[in-house]
Parts: sequence; structure tokens; C-alpha cells
Amino acid sequence: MTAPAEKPILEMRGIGKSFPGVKALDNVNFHLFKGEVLALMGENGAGKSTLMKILSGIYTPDAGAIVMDGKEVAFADTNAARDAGIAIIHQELNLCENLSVAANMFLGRESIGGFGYLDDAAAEDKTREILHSLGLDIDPATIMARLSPAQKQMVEIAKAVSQNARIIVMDEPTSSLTSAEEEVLYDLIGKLKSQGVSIIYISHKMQEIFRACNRVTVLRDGQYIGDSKVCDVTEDKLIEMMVGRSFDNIYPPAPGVPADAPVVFEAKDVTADGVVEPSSFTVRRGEILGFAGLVGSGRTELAKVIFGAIPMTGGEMRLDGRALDIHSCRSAIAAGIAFVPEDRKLEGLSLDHSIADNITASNYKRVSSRGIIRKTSVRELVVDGIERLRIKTPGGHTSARSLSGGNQQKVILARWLSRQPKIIILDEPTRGIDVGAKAEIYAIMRQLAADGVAVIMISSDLPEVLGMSDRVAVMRERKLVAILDRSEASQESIMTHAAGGSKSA
Amino acid sequence: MADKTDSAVRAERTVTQEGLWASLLKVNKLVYVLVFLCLLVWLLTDIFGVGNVGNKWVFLTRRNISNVLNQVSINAVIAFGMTLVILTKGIDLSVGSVVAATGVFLSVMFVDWQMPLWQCYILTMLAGALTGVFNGALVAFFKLPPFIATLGSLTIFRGIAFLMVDGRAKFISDRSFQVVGRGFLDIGIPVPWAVVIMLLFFVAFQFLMTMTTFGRKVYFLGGNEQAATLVGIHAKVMRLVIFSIMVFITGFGGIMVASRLGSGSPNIGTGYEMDAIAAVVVGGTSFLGGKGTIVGTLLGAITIGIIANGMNLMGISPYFQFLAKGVIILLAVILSSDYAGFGGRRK
Repeated sequence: MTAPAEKPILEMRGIGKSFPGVKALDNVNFHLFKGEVLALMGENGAGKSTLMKILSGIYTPDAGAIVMDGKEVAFADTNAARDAGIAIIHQELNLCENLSVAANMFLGRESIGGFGYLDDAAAEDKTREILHSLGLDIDPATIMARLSPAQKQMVEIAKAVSQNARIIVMDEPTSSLTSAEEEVLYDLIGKLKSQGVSIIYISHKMQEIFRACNRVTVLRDGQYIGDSKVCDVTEDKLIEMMVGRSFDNIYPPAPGVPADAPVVFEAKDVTADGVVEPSSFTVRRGEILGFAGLVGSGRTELAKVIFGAIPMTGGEMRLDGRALDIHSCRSAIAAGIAFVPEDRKLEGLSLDHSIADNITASNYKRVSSRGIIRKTSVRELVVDGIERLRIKTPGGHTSARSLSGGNQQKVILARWLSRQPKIIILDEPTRGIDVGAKAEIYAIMRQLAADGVAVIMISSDLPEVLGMSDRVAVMRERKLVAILDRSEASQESIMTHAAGGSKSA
Repeated sequence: MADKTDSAVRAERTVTQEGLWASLLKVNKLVYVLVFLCLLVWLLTDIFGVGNVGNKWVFLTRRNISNVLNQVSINAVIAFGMTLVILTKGIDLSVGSVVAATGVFLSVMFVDWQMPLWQCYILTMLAGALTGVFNGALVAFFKLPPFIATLGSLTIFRGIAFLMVDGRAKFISDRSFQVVGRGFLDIGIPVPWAVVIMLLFFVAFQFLMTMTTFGRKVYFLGGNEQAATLVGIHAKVMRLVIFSIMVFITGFGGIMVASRLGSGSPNIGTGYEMDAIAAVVVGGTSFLGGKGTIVGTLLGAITIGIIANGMNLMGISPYFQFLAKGVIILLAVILSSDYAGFGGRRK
């Protein structure tokens, strides 16, 4: 598709950018051809977002040049970059929820009718035209809040197109999409390509790279590592490029669960009205039970019911054979259940507080007597957590905000492991975490299972589910529909159950 | 799994929440501002004699300093409670009315019902705590935004204050009644009782917020309520307790005011909520929740007190004083804050 003789429409040459104390980018080269989808890969902190922020005019580079269509350009601000035809679709969409689709499309550049009133009809007509040209079936008059996350994203992309974007940067575009919606996105990307739009696709998910992209550029520690046609590389090779060492297998070996291992946790017809339909499963000693399913299939909700964050309206739960009476998170914690939430920043950490405060948060009883804090106990607890989980930090006083995703996750793990839970539920434990930290977290999970903790892992990353789970529970439409043994679990079998038809992905 | 490192490394990793000195250093900007202000006022009044008719010093005297602290004391006491409320992203607008209602209740018990003074105090504080539970329940269980909840209770409490005495202030000439607000404790130098009470509450709140699990929970809850719930902190109960403490301590403020004025007046206390909020905010507590100290609040209250005192001594028109005070509060917050602008940016 990209003939070698063809000239790139965008080149970034020798880009350098430093922040106080950090060299974020060092002599990075980057080029993009017309009508291609280029995957930009690298671990967190590799410099991807800094590079894209330079491209979109948020940062000015310390060194190097941006060349578009053979001419050197410099973007003073984001408006300049937009005028040059560069648009970024952020993970968090930039839309007004309470305005219509058309109003969002033309926000800030509304067409004004006579007497200065807004010409809604004209905006809607134009919007309809653009949506139609992209094959999208969305009514321009709909209020944004009524659209699904996927549709919102489509609108954002359509908005970029309406601004004559020639280069569209998509930052983790599938993070809130179901797999069916992903297909729609890929179709849209195909259409954009055929219209000559170039796309820079940022994602951690290998599958997507191989599915949607033509070429891949890898950054590591702020440096350009290399690029390649997607058809010429393997997944392992890409990981090696990103991490700088080879990973034969980031998943630790599973010793297997003996058939006579006792059941630690049993959920029987656990129900929460309107959120979780009756679902039953067991977790045996030493077992990691993976939960697969589409986004919105009720996995997180089921976990929260078990943890007492969503009230259970029917069914029962047993721990070591004894019935559990869980009516709040407090009672779940007291019973020995730990929950590592999906969104670390929203539900896990108090970001402006220290690592120490965050680890202590579920251990107040342990570090106090009669309500008064014993500083030595706090210090012991925190130092122990930092060492045990190898949290990379100058000390316990460092704020949680300043840590990388992997270390933030470890802080949450340290918080729970110090309680020696009987059951630990991990919701998307490695989302947004780089490969090195991923491997460490997998090792910790295995160790926990070996120590006799019942581990429940929810994940949307199928290779992770397959790599880590001793058994896989699949949920569909708020209900647990299948439990697959390791031997019968495959991407196809999981997707078949998750999507509900006989047709597999 | 845990490979032990030597104790030196352990010791290096300071992990405990700031104690008194650390938090003093943390709000050090405010300490500097305060020192600078005192210096400025001292130079202007005592050295250059602005607004000073005699040749004697008027600012840096034991009498004046004691006077400033005395004036600050009631606001500071209320502001300690307000710190807890704001730390958890709340606000309490009803404190002015609570001051009036508790003061009136106290005087009614003492004058009309002829009850012994100590019983009056205890019942007043109990009444304060009960009204606190009312505010707390509105916020925690009826899920009203604190602004709305306390806007409602502000009006209710004011109404109760008026009803209890049919709108007329109740005067009390009994000297023992006035000790709390006007009396002095002689410890070599005379210290106003109000200042002693302020310091006692300061110590109690400082202890509560830095040394107890309750304090930790308040901070964590303010930092991230969702995360707090998921680690087993009972957000509703915490809110209830925090608002109860707030009104309880405001009831104490009501006692101090009534005692100082020698009357229970249903009109008193308007604007007290704003003074308390100002002290908290100048003291560096963030409206975004989770950040702030009791020491900061004390310094904030004193700072505002010094500003007012300085302007009084210089004979600046009270009308202009309002304007100046507002500007200075805004400046203090802009300079020390983590809202957008100069301070540490939130990423």
C-alpha cells in the first residue's frame, strides 16, 4: 500500500524535549505516509504522548523539526496544528454531553443565521452529510448523552473529518468499546484511509495493532527504536522492541489445581436486581478464576456485589463452607475479601496522598490502638509493603500521583496483601500498565494462588485471561453463562460464549 | 519475598503523616506571611506612627497582642470544625445561626429557668451536638449537597433563635456568666480565657487530625470518596460525625459570644460562617478536599485578625477595611493554593 518511493506527508526529525529532570524525547524520528494507519507503540513513559503533544502544538520541541508536505512547520498552539489538518481523539472524549450531535460538531464555529441566531438546521444538514459520508447512522439532533461510548467516539472522529483533518491521532481508541463496536471503528478507519486520511494509532493491545495497522513505530525511554511493516513483525518481536529485552512468556507457569482442592469461595445464584442476573461459580484453593466477557457484561458489577459495594438481592455466598453475610464493603473486608478496582485513579487511590496513607487506608485497626495511630506500626506496614511488592519510590511519603501506573497498582496490592485476604478480586489488574510491571503483577497473582488465596481476575484482555486463568468464567448480558477449563478455553470459545451466538469472532 | 534492607534505608523512608513541626513547615508560606504582616504593621504603627497620636507603641504590646488573640479566638474555634468539613469537600453555612441559637438557649436556661451555670453549659453543648446530627443527617442520609442542607438549617436555626426569646436579646449581668468570654486566667501574665479555650481546642483538633485513625479517615475520604468506600471507610457515618463536631464546636463558640456580650441575642453571628471559611482557606485547606491542616487554620485566623487589628490601629475607615480584607484573603489563597495559577499544578 505504501510504495517506498512515496514521500511522507508528515515527518518529525530529531525531535528532542526535556522537562526538569527528565529527558522525555531524544532525537526521535517519525514519519507518516498518506492514507496509512501507523501504530505508535511503547511502554508508559516511552514518550508517545509527549511526541503527540508536540505534534498537536501543546508542547514546543527543544530540538528537531516537523515537516509537512516537504515544508517545515512550527505549531505555536493547538489551533495552529488543527488548521494544518492535525486532529487528536483523546481517550477522554472532548464533547458536551448535553448538546446535540450537530452542536458538538460545530462547537466554536457555529453557522450563524440572520439576526445572529444559531442556524441549527444548517448545522444538522451539514452534520448529516458528514456522518453519511463516513457511513455512520447517527441522528444529528440526538443529545450526546444518549449515545453509546462508541457512537460518541464516532462523532468525535467525524468532527475531526469535518475540520478537514488529514492526520488523525487516536489515543487508545478502543479502551471503552465492546468488540462489536471495535469492528465499527475498524470499518471507519478503513473509510478514512480510502479518503486519504492518515492515522496514528496508539494502543497497548497487540491484537488491534495487527488488525488495524499497516506499520508500527516503537519508542522506548524517549528514543526511537525502530519501525516496521506490521506484516513483518511478530508479537514477541514488538514486545522485545518495547521492553528492550526479550520475554519468552510473561505469564508465569500455572502449576495446575488438583482436582480435590477444596472450594474456598462459592457463589450461588448471586443476584443484584437490574445489574447482575443469578450467577453461580466456585473458586478452589490455589486457583485463579478468570472472568471474561464484553465490556458491560456485568463482570465488574458481579465483583462489586461480592465485595458489598452493590447490594445483593438474591442468592448466597459461602467462604470455606460458611455462609457469608455481606451488606457493605466493610463487612466484605472483615470477611477477608479484597478488591482491586478497575480504575485506580477513580476508585483505588487518593492521588494527592502519600503511598503511606494509601497503604494504611485499609489497615487502620492494625496500625492503631484505641483509635490512636502508632507511627512505628505505620512505618513497618509501609516499608514492608514497599519492599514486598518492589514499589519503585524514593519513600513512603511520595504522593501516589507521582507514581507510574504499575507502581500505583502495586500500592493498592500492598494495601490488600497486608491484610492477608482469603479472596482477592482484581478488576483489569494490568490495564494501562507496561509490560515489565505486568509480568511482576502476574507473578504476584500466581504467588497468592500458591499461598492458598482464591484469586478472581476480571480482564478484557483475552491473552491475559488465557495466560493466567486456571478456569475461565464467561459473562454475557449480566449473567455468568459458561465456565471453561483451561484445556477448553480459547479466544474462539470465550468469544462464542461472550457474544452469545454460535458465530465466533 | 521481602528481602530486608538495612535499618538505615528503613529510617530514610519517612512514612508518617506530618506532625506539628512538619505541618508548620508545610504551611511555612503562611508563617512567613504572618511574620511579614506583623513586621509591616509594627513598622507602620509603632515606628512611623501611622494613625498613632501618642508616641507610645500600640501594636507590639502585650495588651494588643492579647487583644488580637482574644478577638480571633471565637473565629478560630469555629474554623477548626470548619476545617474538617471543608477537608471532606463540605461546607457549613449555618454556623452563624448556631452561634445565635445556642447563645439564646444558654441565656434562656440561665435567666428564665434559673439553672446552674454548669448545667446550662452542658445542655447547650448537647443541643449543639444534636443540631449537628441534624445537619449531618441531611448531608449523609438525605444526600443533600452540604451547601443546600446548611442553607436550609441556617434559616431554621435563626428562626428558632428568634422564637425562643420572641426576637429580643436577653441580657445577663451575672459576672460568672461572663468569665468564658471576658475573663482572664492569670499565669504570671493575664491570658484571656477565650484564648486558653482556643488553644485547648487547637491541641485537641491537632491531635485528632494527626494522631488518630479518625483523622486519617477524614483525609482519605476527602481525597477520594469512592476509594474510601472501597477500603471500608464508612462515608455516611464519617459525614455525620464531622458535621456533628462542626456544630458542637460552634455551640461552644455560641457560649463564648453570649458570655462576651453578656447577652443571648438572636441577631448575632451573621457572617461568622464566612469568617471561618476565610480562616480555613487562608490557612491552606483546599476546597478540592483532602488537603489542609489545623495549624494552617489557626495561622489563617490569626493572619486575618492581624490584618484587621493593623488597619484599626492605623485608623483606616471600616468601609475600606472590608475591601482590603477581601483582597488580602484572595491574594493569600492565590499565592498558596493549588487551584489553577501559581501554586502546584494539578495534573
